[in-house]
Amino acid sequence: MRGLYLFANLAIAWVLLAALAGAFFVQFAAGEPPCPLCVMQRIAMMMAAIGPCLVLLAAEQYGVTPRTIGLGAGLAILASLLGAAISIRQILLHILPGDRGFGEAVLGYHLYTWAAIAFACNIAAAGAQLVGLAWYAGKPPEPAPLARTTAAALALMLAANIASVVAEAGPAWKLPDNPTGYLLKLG
Amino acid sequence: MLYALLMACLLACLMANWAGHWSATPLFLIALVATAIAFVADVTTPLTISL
Repeated sequence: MRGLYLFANLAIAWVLLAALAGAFFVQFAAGEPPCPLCVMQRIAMMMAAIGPCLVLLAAEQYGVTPRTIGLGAGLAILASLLGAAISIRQILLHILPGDRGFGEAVLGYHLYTWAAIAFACNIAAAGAQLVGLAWYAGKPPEPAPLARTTAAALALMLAANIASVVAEAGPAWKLPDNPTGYLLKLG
Repeated sequence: MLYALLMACLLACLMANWAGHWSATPLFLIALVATAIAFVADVTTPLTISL
């Protein structure tokens, strides 16, 4: 069961990272700077990825135990609930007939709709992990494969998003509601 | 800048997590509550664009 938990958390973390990388691809390939709600969804998604990272990183020091799995799944559920609320808010802003939505659709859905689906799936995955704890007693500390690589990738994603938001907002405290470019002027 | 600060808090949480430090969970909860407050502020502020 230890291997199954590690694989599940590794898969969840990388799926979330892939979704965040996809958002970056749309941002630069389609030239669509993210709006405040989009940025908040990215923050919630990175927050949701911290839960699985916690389980992977804690394996070396504390082991894959019901405590670390419960904490990781709990954090993922909290972050996903917030992310789902934000993405549902954005879906509702564009629900009226004739509204073409914010940004381009990807595979038939806008990014905020995909985000709502991802958050719902993440809550389901975390719930399944918590149910599985009924049959799992825990294992002693041992490093988890790819734990540091996954955490480093998430740290890189966070740093890239910080740079993106600073470039987009410039000296302003908040992002514009409908951003069309980058406000940071260098030199 | 507001969102950059939120993400910096998350980055600090991840680093604390990596180091096995106790502060990882409080930092996560601070970032979570701050993002929730930012969301509520966004919802209650009139949009400057027409939908």
